[in-house]
Amino acid sequence: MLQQLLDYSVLPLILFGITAIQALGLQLILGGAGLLSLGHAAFYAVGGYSAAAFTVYAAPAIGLTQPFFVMLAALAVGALSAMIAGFLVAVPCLRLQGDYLAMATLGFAEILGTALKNIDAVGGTRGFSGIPKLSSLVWVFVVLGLVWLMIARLQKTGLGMAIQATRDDEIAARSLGINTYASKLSAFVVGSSIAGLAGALYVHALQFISPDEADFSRSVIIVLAVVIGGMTSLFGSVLGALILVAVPEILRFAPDAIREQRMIYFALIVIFVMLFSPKGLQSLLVKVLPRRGQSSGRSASAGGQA
Amino acid sequence: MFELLQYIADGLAVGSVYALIALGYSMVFGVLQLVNFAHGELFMIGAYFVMYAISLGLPWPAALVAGMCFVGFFAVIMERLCYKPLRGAGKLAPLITAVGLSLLLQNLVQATIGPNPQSYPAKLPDGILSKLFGWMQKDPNTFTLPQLPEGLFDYGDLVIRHRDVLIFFVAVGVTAGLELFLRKSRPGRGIRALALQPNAARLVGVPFNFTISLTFFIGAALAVAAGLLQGMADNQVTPFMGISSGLKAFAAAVLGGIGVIPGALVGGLVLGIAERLLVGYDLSTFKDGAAFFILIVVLLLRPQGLLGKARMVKV
Repeated sequence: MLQQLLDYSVLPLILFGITAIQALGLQLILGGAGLLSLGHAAFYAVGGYSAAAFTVYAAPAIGLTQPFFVMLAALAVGALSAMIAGFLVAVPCLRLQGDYLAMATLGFAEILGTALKNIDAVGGTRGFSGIPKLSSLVWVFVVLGLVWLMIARLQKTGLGMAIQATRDDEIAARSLGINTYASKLSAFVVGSSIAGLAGALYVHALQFISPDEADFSRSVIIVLAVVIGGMTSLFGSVLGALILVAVPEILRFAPDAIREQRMIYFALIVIFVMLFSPKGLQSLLVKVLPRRGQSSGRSASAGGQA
Repeated sequence: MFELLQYIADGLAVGSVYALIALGYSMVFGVLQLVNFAHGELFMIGAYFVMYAISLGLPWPAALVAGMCFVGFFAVIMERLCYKPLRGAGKLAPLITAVGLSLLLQNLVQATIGPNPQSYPAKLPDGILSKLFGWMQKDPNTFTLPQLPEGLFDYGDLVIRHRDVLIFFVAVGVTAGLELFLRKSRPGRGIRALALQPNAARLVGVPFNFTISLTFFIGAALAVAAGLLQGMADNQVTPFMGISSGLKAFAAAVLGGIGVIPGALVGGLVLGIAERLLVGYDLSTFKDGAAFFILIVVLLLRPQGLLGKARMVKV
């Protein structure tokens, strides 16, 4: 029984880890730089497809067979290709403001999905299958941890602060000599490459990817994860990913009447979270839990006075 | 050469439906700077409502008006319950709520009516709808269903269907009427004032909440008209028609210049023609990406859209 439960929970856990990585990447773009990207799943698909193509076509050709190193190289390929795609999209599109940028990224995702359906070498509409199983739960969570640490570290560097200043007030940031275009561009490109990592993990865990992964609905799920959790914190994004993966899984065990309509309850949860806590669930948690941050903040200011 | 003209003529009809939906996106965006992602679902609900009303034996103009009122008030209630509390909570919260609403409506319709496409004359689905309205159901043979005209203008190589011409002129007429309403009538000028400068508009006495409700009502009513045209032209209504047509209509609104009424018409027609050209020249698998490709190219050359005016950001 316990064994069954463990076996059953491996796949949802992998999906949670991958969604969390995607959400962290988007958190950097949306929460960090304040850019709404409605095409984040496209970069995930770019990373997934190119990592899969690398493992299936390129790795045997260059004589790389050791699974650990193939997976490592595939992760690099996924991140790099998504980074290039992110760069190519961002360079022209970041000149656009707010909703126009959202529209352009959404458009890129739709175009990519259409293009993938028409490339036969990666399966076309049938999807790309027959990818060796190289990644596992451990891989996913190690990458998730590294990505989390990296973004947390990035926020404390000069670049991270420039990105945050650009989000808070672009004109003021520019008047301080911050190159706002460069800081937006770097947030977008790094965020895209993280999505590429998630894609590489996904294809080697599920051994399959289809053009649907670049779909608008996938991008929406990532945006929801970031926003439901609370888009200004990394913890919030991971929490949001957990909710998005766990709620449909839990509702699967609910009585038939609820189970069949689980998307309805899911949508209702999204709406209610937004109506009652627009800053995300993470802000509710901060209110409810005793504040550790506040006491340390007080002692810091006291130290400043002394 | 005639082929090209033929595809353009066919594309005008497809684009006209996009344009009617795009008008709603454009108006709501103009007033609230909100992309109402649930607008495509209003189009879908409208198509269902009118189809059932006609199948129950209502003459089509009455069914259309009833559908416009029903979906219009539905949109107003939706705005009051879901968007109004979020004013001032930033731009993202209402946008996410809109995406949630879109998911909710799609799945609600799928749960009550079923995921399969329905066509005229439709029977009420088993369950709550037939319990409530079953007594109205008549035998489909006792009344005639409205049809779009079937005739053709035949110029040899170039054949134009009457119904395409009708759909095109409905879209042009509605756009012109809406523009006239916004320029000449008092509530219409209120909408424009609110779009231009919300605080100043309130100071001079434009009723804020009423005007926003009116904007949602008009947008929804136009989406119902589009739903009727689309439903009759394809003779098919599905729970998912809102998401695909909605996204493209939104692209059309941005393409033409969001917030500009004639822009929605131009954007819709451009996208419709482009799609039909791709289908005509055997590239139909690229159809769904084409709308967005054109959109991105236009946005890069003219970020404010084809007919939009550039706005300077003030400090």
